[in-house]
Amino acid sequence: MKLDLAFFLLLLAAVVLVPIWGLSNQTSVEPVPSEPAPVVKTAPLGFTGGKSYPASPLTFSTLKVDEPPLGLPLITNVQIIDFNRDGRNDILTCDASRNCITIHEQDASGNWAPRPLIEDVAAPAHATCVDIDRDGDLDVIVSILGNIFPDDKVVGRVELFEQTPDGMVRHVILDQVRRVADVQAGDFDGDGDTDLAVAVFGYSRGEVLWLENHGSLRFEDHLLLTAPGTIHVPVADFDGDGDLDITAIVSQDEEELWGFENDGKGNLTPRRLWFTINFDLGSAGLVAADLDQDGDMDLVLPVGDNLEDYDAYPQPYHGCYWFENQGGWTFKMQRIADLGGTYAAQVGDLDNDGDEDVVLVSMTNEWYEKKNAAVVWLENDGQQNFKTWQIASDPIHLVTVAVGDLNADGKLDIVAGALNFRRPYDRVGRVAAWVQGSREVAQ
Amino acid sequence: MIRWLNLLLIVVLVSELAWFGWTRLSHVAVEKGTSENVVRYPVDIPEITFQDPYYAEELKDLSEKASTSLDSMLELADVLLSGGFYQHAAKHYELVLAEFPTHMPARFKRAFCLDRSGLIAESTAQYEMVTQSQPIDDSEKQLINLATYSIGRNYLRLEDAEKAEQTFLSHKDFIPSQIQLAKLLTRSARPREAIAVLDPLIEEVPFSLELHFWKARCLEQLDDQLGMLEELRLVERGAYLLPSDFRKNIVENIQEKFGFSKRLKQAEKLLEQGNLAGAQKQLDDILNKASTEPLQETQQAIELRGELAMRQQDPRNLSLVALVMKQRDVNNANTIRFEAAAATFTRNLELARLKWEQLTRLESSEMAFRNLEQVYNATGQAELAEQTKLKRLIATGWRYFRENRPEDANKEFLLAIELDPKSEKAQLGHAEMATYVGDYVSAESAYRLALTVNPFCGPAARAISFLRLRDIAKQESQW
Repeated sequence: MKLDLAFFLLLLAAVVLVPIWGLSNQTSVEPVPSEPAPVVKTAPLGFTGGKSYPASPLTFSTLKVDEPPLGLPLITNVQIIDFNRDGRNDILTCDASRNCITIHEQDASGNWAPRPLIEDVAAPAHATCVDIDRDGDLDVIVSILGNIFPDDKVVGRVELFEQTPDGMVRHVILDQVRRVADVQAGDFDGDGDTDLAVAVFGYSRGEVLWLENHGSLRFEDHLLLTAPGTIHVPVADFDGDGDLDITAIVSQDEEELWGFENDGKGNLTPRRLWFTINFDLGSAGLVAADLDQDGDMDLVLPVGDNLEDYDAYPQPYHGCYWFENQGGWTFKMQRIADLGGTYAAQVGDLDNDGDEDVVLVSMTNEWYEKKNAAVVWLENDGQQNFKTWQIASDPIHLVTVAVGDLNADGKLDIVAGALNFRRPYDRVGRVAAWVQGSREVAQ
Repeated sequence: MIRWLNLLLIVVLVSELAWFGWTRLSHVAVEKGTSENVVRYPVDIPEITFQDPYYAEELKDLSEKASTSLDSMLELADVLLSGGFYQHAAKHYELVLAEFPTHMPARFKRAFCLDRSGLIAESTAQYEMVTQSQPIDDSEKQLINLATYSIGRNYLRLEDAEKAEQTFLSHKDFIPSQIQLAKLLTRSARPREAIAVLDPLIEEVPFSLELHFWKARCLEQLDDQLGMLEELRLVERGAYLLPSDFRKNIVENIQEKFGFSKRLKQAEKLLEQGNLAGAQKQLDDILNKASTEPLQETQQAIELRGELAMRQQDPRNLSLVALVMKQRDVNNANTIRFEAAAATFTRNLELARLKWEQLTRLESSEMAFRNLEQVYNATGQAELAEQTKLKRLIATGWRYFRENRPEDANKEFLLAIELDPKSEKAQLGHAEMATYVGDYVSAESAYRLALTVNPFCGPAARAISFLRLRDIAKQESQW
């Protein structure tokens, strides 16, 4: 009986103490249901620069030059040129979805209509218009990627389309090469005919070539550089010695600017003019222009191609760089704009104040914010100090831009092309044009 | 009586112990991320209309669960990362890390999100925390490697060559870091040091194009022209074997678990496995679910539907897919291939010829040449069939070469030469393969034949210069 009583007292004590012990422990380790969520130190979660800018003081209105987009257009290049020589500027576009070159022509009333000029070209990156056979009309040399998507296969070509009374006649002048991104024309060996500089972009492998014209549309290729990712090869007399030199921007992790100094006889000596170890810079093109109007050719480099990302965002180094030619193959670099995802640049005097301004377009700004800039212009104060003004935020994913006078009013207008292969599939465009005028574009 | 009271007290005690034990265990489980939590977490998803309906549903579902579960919170962060919403994803990883600061995958992905959002210093700080963690398995060890590599790459992005070099130098067992180190050494004019890094790697991975490319650059700096050319030939023969950019892989691994991407991957797998009915159902589901808005994923589903129709030898669906593609302004090689195949299956040989010819203008593929050759044969155009066969043999030769099979490639080029000894391309292909297998006499003879056919054949002229340089070097070494 005594044992039962002792056991009873022990159990009673346990029954009383266990909840006391349990609750005291619980309050120290258990989250209480009504407790607020953990507080996190939310620092800025993304780079905030390079997205939107004040509205342009120059007014622009949209000009309908193209059909409404179907699907997801892949426009790789636009240029303004009087191709049909009717005295009015046309727009030439390379289309990697339709795999064709289209000419957008305007009639005397200023109405625009597109028509296919060249068909069955696989992912054309650029069309170079030059009278290669010297018969008085413009022929077209097409830089053929072969595949718009990353591909290291030997799928590139350079095709020459000779303009004849019966239409454009195809000649393959370079094949067995990787993806070709650009061809530029010039007489490099001083023999009076037109040779070609070629950027074989490739992917993991690529090269820069020049094609020596031997007449009868036969060309011999000469290797200038082996490097993957050459985008553009602008041609000009960069050293002022009277012959044409070649420059090249190499992207794809390398991020190098090269010059090929010509001795006038087609002997081109490579010089690395600049490079950065920032593999992520995203060089996207190269434009030769005398930005400071001091009589020599400078280079303008748009940067912001981060297509290695499925969803690229503005980075602190995106924008536009000016390489000021200081003579003797020395170029001084200055950053003149910070537009996120900048993919293309063009130079021209937009405000007719006598100095050169710059137009930029963005491929990968932060597009979920709809006010962010797709097209901007950089106003030059005459001393090469540039202020960025926003022109448009629609369409997005722009990769190519041209400036020229579309409506013969003496003011420069803008044409841009959209490459829609990244999210968001929104504000989808093909070829968009803005003319300087009184009606403002929604910015 | 007292015994009954004792029994009652035992029951009460057991109940108390069970209750407290369960509540304690559930807390431990939550700490381990295996059970529901009662704390309500803030969820922040982008205020947009999502274009992928599967993705939108998954996101909605997860955002409901994530308010009370850290497992779901982690998954929600992943789904946001896969959709490219890095800033939102970073915020949710941060919530997970506030509870479990040692959660290495969450820490790594948060660092990645900051990295891709342009916050370089902030992402480096997070990657550093990853490298200081204790890995519990091989996948976490790999995360430490990737984090260290990303720190080095962030220093490159900041153009801090010194810190980048230190980072890669200390990361000896990770080949991508060693490639970055070799690049830095080459670009800072230290080619001998770079070669010392590259050579052991080349021994390990002899056909990596990146290693040979950087060695070529080093040899160029050392004025070793022949060495450089030999390395560049190996670049051409090599392949992209050592990835140096993991950004897409990180996203892809997550992307494949959600939205259209998940379904497309499943459809591709079913197609690969030959489960045509399963693939068809999956693709039809995707296309039914997709809105009329154009999406890249819808385009992929349409093209896969075309591949399926090819496998089913279904001309009606092939034509239909090609039509849909054209309505979406897509006139690519696949559109034309589907049209060509539909015409071939229905024995409309004239249309088939036109379409296969059109395809060969867009791509020099064996497949296109083979089909065109067959159509020419079927329509009695023997000469054109023979010309196309020549192109096919050359295309096959180059394919074998890209697969690092120069001997097999050479056989194809020799067959092509048999067909047309005056083919510059066949001679050039044969010459290249002979060079790669060390038969320099045959190589030179074939290069010269190519130059006889086309005196402006740049690759042949360059190759002969290379062989001359090689001869000179050989003679010098004998002297």
